[in-house]
Amino acid sequence: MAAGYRGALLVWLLAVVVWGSGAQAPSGQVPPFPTAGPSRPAAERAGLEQPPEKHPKLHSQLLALARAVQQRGAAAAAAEAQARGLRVRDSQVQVVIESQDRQGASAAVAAAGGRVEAAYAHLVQALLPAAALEAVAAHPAVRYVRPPFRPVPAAVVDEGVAATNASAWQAAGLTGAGVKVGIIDLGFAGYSARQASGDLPAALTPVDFCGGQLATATAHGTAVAEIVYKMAPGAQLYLICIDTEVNLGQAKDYAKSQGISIVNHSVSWFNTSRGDGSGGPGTPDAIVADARASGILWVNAAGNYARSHWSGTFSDPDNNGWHNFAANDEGNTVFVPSGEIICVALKWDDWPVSSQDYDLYLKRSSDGVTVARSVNPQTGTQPPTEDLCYLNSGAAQNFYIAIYKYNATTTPRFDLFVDSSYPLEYQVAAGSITEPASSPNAMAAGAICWQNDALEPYSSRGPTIDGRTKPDIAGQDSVSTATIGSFTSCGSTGFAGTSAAAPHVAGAAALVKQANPGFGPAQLQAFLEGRAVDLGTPGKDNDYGAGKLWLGAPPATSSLPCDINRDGRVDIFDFNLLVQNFGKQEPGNPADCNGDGRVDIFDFNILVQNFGRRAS
Amino acid sequence: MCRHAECPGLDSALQQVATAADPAAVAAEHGIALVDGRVRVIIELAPGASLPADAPLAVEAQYEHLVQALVAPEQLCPLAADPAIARIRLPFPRAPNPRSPAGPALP
Repeated sequence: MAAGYRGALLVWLLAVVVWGSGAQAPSGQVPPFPTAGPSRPAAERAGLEQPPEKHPKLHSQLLALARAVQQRGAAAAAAEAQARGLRVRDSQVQVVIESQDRQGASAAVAAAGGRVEAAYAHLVQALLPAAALEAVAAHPAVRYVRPPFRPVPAAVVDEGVAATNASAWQAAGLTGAGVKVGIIDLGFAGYSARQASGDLPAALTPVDFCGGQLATATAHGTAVAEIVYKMAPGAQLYLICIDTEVNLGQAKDYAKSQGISIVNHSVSWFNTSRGDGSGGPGTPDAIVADARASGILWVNAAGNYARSHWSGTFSDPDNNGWHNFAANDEGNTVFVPSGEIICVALKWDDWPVSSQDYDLYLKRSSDGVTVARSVNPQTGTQPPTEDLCYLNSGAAQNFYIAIYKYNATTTPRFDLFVDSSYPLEYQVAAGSITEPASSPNAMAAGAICWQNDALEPYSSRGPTIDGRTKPDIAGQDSVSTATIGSFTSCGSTGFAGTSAAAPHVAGAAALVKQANPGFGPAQLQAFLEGRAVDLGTPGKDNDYGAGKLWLGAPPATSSLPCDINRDGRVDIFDFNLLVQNFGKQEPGNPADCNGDGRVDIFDFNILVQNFGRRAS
Repeated sequence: MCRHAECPGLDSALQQVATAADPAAVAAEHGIALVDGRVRVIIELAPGASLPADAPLAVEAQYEHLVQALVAPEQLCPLAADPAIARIRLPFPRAPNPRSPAGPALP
């Protein structure tokens, strides 16, 4: 927004606010803009700041609900109650009445049009119309009316919360409230059980773009979502299930439509682009680029391919057409257990279409028999890629990967990735970053063990093929989750892998976003990289990126409800943020100064009343 | 078997499935899951083209010029010959990034 336009907008809004607050401005004059100095004590003397209303027998949330219903009518009760975390059934709010006279309390409930649900000892659990809360509280048999206590199941502790200092942010009241986070993954099996155990929030939004397989395909996304939740328990989570790149595009469009500001994608894609973010329409590169341009921070796992990647140029000293991985070795061997599927992806740097025709083979080491091959033509209109998968239905044994020059005159760089639980014989860690983490539009997360900050040996490394440094940051992995299990050692227990590192970054971003609602993806990424603890080679490097994910100290907290940027003062910068948030209806939005679940003209009025006030 | 079979526009793995005497067995060997005997493929439409109305397939989803569909193996070659279709391939390879002693499989 241009500075001149912003200033004119502020003047106009101020005029509206003064009108809204009942102050009289001379006709045709714009009132002077308040300054932090002299106007503040004057405002205090005028009694513009109202002390909060309190009730000796009614919980503050219930009192606020009663007031809201008085002001806006009974129709607003359900939305108000939901915004305040109160339970509603049959249009009535659930309460617990503390009373030494249960019979009298029950009579008060009945007289108010409510219904007793249960009673125990001195407690009566009841449903009451919001408009009758004060009347019931006033009954002589009632000692106190409050919402029911909230039982919290014993959830698994994610060690990454403390290891990133997210714990300090949460203690300061920053939980990601008001921030929407999308977890785009391949399945969320068991997510309902994780909700019941307290490892996922009771309220979340499952979105199925994977043909009805959301709750059955895999539990990977569930474990990822657990970490986001532990890092940012107040964030609004969307569990978005995908299968193919078509679904990935649909998921991105959905995220845009819902105002999701942070996406976590703990998935690697292969052979979709050169690896520099330039992938064409429909590729993960293009999808991530559109998300970033739409204000979404896309956090992507870097990949676990440091020991499952090889890179080099074609070499054929005996001129038999087969590439030599070593002087006397034309195969890159990998062990495949019985019953396991191995997938291999080969690409060469001749994008977007190639006339250099190479083929990919998988052969059995014991007899050299070809068990799978990918022999696409490259005649100038096809991408420079080959990929294959093979199910080893025989005994566990070695296989080797071979590259054949079918019809080529140049020797471009090859990148070979193998999706297997065992490492390659010939491996190159450099350049093992996968797509779309390699894109400049994604924030790529490598993995360090939370316990000792050591780089995990499998964590994919940079640089990208166009020479950029990746990953961008190193997130914590090997953490305990309810879905996968407990930590006992780095890299092999708990939830290990860059799949676990990325959601720590995404969750941290949600905390930063709550504290700085005006931050876009570039600012969020810069904040996290700026606070990261440098590891490895000084400066940003191709192993750890900017370093260990570390949130540092939370921003100064404030008792002022309109201190939107939480810097301890209500000033012009809060005003800017409030205008940015104007009209948004998001529970927990910090611009919702009066806490009524929406950002509207009444928040604006309150902000001006508080203008210039410092936290004591 | 000739290297590039008689179905231009059809990717290598799909050609092997489409021309096999036992497509289900070949698909299983290549880790390709069949859905009711059909293969899940990505159809890249030619620039400006639409999917033929009578195409023998079941569309699952569409994004930009990509169509995700289920196609019977015997229909793959004739479908790839349609001028509205630039290419038929398997979905891009993708994998989650967990690590565990038991390998990448998750419950």
